[in-house]
Amino acid sequence: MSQLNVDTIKKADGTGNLSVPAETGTVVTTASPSLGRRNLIINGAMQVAQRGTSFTATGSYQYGSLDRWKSSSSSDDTYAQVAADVDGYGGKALRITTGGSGSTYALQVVENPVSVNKKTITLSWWAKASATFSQYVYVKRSSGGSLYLDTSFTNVTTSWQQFSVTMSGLETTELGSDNIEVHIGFNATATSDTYDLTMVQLEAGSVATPFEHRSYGEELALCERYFQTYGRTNGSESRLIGSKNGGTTALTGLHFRTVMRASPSLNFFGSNTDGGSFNTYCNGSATASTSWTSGYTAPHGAFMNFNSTTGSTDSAAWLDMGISTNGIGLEFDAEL
Amino acid sequence: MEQMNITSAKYTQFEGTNSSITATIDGITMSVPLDPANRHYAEIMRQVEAGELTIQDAE
Repeated sequence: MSQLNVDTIKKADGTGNLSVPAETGTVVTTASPSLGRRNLIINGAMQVAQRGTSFTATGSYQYGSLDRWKSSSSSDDTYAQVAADVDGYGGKALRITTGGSGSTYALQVVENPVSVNKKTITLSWWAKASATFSQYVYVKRSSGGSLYLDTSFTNVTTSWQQFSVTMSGLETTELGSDNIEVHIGFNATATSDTYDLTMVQLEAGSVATPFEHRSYGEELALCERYFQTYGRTNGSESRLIGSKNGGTTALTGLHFRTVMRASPSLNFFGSNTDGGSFNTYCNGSATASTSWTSGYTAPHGAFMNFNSTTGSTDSAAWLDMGISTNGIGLEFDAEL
Repeated sequence: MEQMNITSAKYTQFEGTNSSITATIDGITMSVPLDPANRHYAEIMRQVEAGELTIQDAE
């Protein structure tokens, strides 16, 4: 087998800096040292929408549609998943439709990215809008230090375009326990202006490398560290098996599909809508209920106690989820 | 800073010990664990310390 031994590879004009480090023998570019799994943004291609594909913000910094992406401080803006054909990638985008003029953006909190400690980082994204607008770009540490802020960044137009910024603020200061917040959006001038965002990538290095595409399944698992839903929509049937305690409570629980970041908050809803009713089944008969009596969660799972008056003795109990009538759904939230 | 509209908060107990808080946050009733890493719990405690919210005792 032939072998080519080189120390550096350059372009014909003498530029470029592909090198072969003596200590590892692994070829890297000095401009973008992070090969392989490198994108710190989760759901950067806007594929996963466990909460639903559209919501209108009613307050500041809310989660409502696409996983891991928060709304900005502007109320009445709508955040929706839309189809996008970007750079040959027929995927999805996050569309912000404004409820009024002013700066509006999507925000993601990146959990303590220790892999970029003391390194230059680069943020890149693709965007287009309903007209030409200046963009709003802000990257900061959770403890408050700004890494990049430009409230009048390069204009977005009606055609898909890639943008990037490189930041050196982490090079000289330890990241510690900080998270990094990424804000990307635009400065709207009227109601119903739109801004489409996708293929967002935050990585180590001084250049924006091609977007790291991940499968839907990989991305969903990453999102589930922060949010999981069970039986939310009609057609996502499953059953929680439990027992009656002899009183008025049915006991049940579940293990999460993915271990979560922290003990999550629990929200349940009946009949597939918040505040609806659902049935607890004991001794072969159903009890309509509208509440749980208590719920306890940990990063790996939860158990719940539901009101259930039917039957007075110990017996099996169960709750059906994800059906159109008398079903319940569960949400677990460990977001940042 | 994230702002949550918390309109009620009440401890719930498991085997005689406070184990979670049932709270209504932005109009949604949820069970919030007593975990400082949970953003809802952190905000509840921030509002309690600011004198803006009182957590009711468990029944």
